Amino acid sequence: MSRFVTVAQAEAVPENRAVIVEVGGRSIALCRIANDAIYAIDNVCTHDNGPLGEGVLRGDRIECPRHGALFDVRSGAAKTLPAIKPVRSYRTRVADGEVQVDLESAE
Amino acid sequence: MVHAPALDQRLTIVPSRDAVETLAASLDEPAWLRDHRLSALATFESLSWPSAEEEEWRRTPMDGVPLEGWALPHEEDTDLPAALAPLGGDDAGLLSHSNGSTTEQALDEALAAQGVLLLPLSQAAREYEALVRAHLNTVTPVGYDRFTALSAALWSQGLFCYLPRGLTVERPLLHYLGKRAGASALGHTLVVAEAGSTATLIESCASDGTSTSAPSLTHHTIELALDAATRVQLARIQHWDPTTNAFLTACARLGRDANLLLASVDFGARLSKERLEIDLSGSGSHADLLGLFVGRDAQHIEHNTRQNHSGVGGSSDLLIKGALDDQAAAVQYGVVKILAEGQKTAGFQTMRNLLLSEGASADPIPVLEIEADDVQCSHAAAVGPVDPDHIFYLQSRGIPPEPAERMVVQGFLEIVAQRLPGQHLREAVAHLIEAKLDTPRTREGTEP
Amino acid sequence: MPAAIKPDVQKPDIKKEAYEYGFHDKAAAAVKLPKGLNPDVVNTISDLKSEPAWMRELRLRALQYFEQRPMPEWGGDVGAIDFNDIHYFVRASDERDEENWDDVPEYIKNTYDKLGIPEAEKKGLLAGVGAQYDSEVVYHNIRKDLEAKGVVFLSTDQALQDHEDLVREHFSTIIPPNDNKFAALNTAVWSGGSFIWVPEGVKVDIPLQAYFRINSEDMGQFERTLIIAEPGAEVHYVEGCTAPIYSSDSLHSAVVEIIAKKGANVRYTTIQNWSNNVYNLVTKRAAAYEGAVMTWIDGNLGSKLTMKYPAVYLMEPGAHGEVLSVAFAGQGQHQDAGAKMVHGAPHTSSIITSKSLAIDGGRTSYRGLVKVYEGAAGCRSNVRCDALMLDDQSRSDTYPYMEIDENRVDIGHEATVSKVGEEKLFYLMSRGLTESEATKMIVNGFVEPIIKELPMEYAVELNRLVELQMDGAIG
Repeated sequence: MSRFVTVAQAEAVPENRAVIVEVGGRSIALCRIANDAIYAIDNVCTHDNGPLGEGVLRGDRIECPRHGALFDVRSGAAKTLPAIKPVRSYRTRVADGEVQVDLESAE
Repeated sequence: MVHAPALDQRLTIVPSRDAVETLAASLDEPAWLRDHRLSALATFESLSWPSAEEEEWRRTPMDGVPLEGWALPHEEDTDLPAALAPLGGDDAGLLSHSNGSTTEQALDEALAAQGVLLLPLSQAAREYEALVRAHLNTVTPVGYDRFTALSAALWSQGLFCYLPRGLTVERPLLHYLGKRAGASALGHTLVVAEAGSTATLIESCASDGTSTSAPSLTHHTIELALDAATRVQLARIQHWDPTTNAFLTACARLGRDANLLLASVDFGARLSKERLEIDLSGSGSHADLLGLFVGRDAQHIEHNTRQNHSGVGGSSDLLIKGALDDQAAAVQYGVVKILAEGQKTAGFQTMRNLLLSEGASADPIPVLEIEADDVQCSHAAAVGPVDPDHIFYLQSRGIPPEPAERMVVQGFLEIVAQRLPGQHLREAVAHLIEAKLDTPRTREGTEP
Repeated sequence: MPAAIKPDVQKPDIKKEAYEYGFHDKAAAAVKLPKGLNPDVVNTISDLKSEPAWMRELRLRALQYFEQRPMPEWGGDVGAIDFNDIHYFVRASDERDEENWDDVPEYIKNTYDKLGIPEAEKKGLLAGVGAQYDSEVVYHNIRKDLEAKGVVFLSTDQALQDHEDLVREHFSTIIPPNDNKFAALNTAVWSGGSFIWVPEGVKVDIPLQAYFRINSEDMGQFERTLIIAEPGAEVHYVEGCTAPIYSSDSLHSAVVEIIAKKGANVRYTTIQNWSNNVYNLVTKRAAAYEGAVMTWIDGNLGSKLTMKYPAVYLMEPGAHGEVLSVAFAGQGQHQDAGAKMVHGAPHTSSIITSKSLAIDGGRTSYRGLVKVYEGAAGCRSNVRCDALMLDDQSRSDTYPYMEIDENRVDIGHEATVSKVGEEKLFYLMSRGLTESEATKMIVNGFVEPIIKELPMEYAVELNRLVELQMDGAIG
């Protein structure tokens, strides 16, 4: 069973940086990829608990501001060291201009 | 479990001139001690809480530690918590504190006649001003950190122990510290040992309460001023309830050929952080530092130790061993520092952590900083599960796997327990280890 | 603006000749950017190398990271480094990256002749040689049979031209530009270094060697090395470093990235003998995949301050990482060296062996981390650090960090600090040795476990360097 929760207005999520939302006791980074969709990942770097969502978003990659680890925002996979573990990612959808996240879909 | 009554909101203390003066008056303290507290209050106000920027606080989970709004009761005639099992056996003297008041006070008459003192610190400040004044906060500075400053301003559970020159106290001296769950507590232990004296002090702290009590804070300062050729043993057994955040700062200064054993045994508290610092400036002085713990649920048990050698021919030996189950975490950050003048020194550190579950974790960090060359220093740290070879061996002797694992864990901790002072204490600790290991886990994945 | 930058002429000033590699060559550089660091300098370096746009962008981004990050406050004292007083790029000669030794300019050839580099190649002791002089590689060669098997051994600059896709796929994936301040600096201004690609199953049986030389005063050397060992490949890379002694300090800040794929075996040996006025601030890291073996052998004898902690990230089951480190700190030297082992997968193992010697007021620090992620069951790690103090002016520190988030592991750390034992000295002296001979003998025995892992000619070299250091200190 999926349970989508509205977390933001889609128009409030820009292309070059993540929007951080607090939902269900979690801090989640919403990342928009041009000509694609909005993705949701945990706002915590798996290397050193850095604030991942505060980093630069380029295309499908977000860069942790603390030590520069890159993650694929679509899958959560770590693309460079020093991170080796994927960051948790969530299913998202946009309905009526609202971004919705399924918190139970964590991978 | 005893049901903890709801704490009166009026007990909540804000560190202020008013709070310090009220406390000093209620403890009937002399003006000099009140002024000492007020100056500590100023230090408290000038300091910030330790931050994760500092190496010794980097691994301490301070989230959830109440840094204001403490209920600091000061009540007469309260019972000691049931968890305070008698530990000393045949003791030579005793001081009990509970919920901020002295509840019992006794000392062997012959020892009293020979000049031994075992008194509430406020009373000692009144009756032995020169002695107390000369030593209070000279070993553990008021401004060591913001916790020690808070304690120095507002402690209500104080003990003063004085050992006259050359005197040996054979049987242990006891200090009981109790509180209700949800209550906070600040205490101070000052031991002044004159040259050639010998004694053992056992400090035991406990509170009744469950994981649903309100979070509380305790801080206790220990100061050991040990003159030449003294032999002092201090063992502290910590059994606070699971909502207590327990901080301890214990410092010792060792004179020539002084010999100290300082042991901390931790069972309780949500978070236990102990800062132990030994100043081995006396030539030929020796210190044994022991740590023993069993961590369950989401407990965090941390030791920060410093073995500072500036005297010639000193030696120190640290041994910390603990078992961690459930999601319990342990940190040991220990430094052996040998200054250039500390020649012919030996400094050792051993930190061993048994991880009994997948969620348990341990970060042992033994640090050496050596500026002298004629030294023998070594450290060892280890983390791992129960050695399957040991279990296999016991199984081959017909012991089923679970009791076999239990035996191995107990045997692992026994090495430290055996070095505690007194048969009675060793047995009591063995029982506490067993009880702690037997406690059913509260809830899988419970946050502290 | 690139046009604003004009090469100036170098004015050598030798203060001290005692240091064996203290000679330097007086020929003028072909290109020398003025001191200081800004986007113009970065753009100029990129222009001079005719780089693709993505590399220029990466450099400029890294420069921003470098400027944003504070100086590290732990480790050694880096406060005296003046980043505005450094030449970030010096091209020694217009003849670059020669494959024929005879085409290398005479004065550079002399340098390497004095260092004995072509000797070893001539004798067939090496599978390939690279020589970097200031910012760029001046000579490069690889044995023809290895080239025929597809082994690539080039300067990283050349590799970017010849194998752009391969470089782009791996560059900065092991050490991203914002990893730390000095990695950011290197990424912004990198030049030279080695690029090695060993195809699947190919075993390079004798070492590939690179020699790094800082010759110009007030110069920073920022080589960038990338080694990719495909599944089942084997390679051993050896690097040596020297510099002349000038009155002012130099900076060496390299980045080395290594990828050891499934079953690969990579060994990386460094004999660092920078002169005692070089800040040596290096980031070295390897990723080891399933069943791969990665070994760092790290000899730190020279430099004013070295901060270097070779790391192995054990990414998949069965990966094994090893660091063997020997550090020698004499007068005015601080060797802050160590190792990092990150166990990210089950059944990975690591060994760290560190030997350090402090003499004559020198300071050695071991700084290490063993990290085990939750779920990495069945990991084993053993750390052994020994420090020998040779007098009461010196200092030795040990900072072994451990973060263990998994219980089914076997993690151990042991360290000792001691002085040269009087009984041993007495015994040797009773056999007719002088005190300094006996001390040297004990020191040799102490570093032996590392020496025996080195290729023979390097073992001899390291022994000789240790003795030279000892002569200066106790002789």
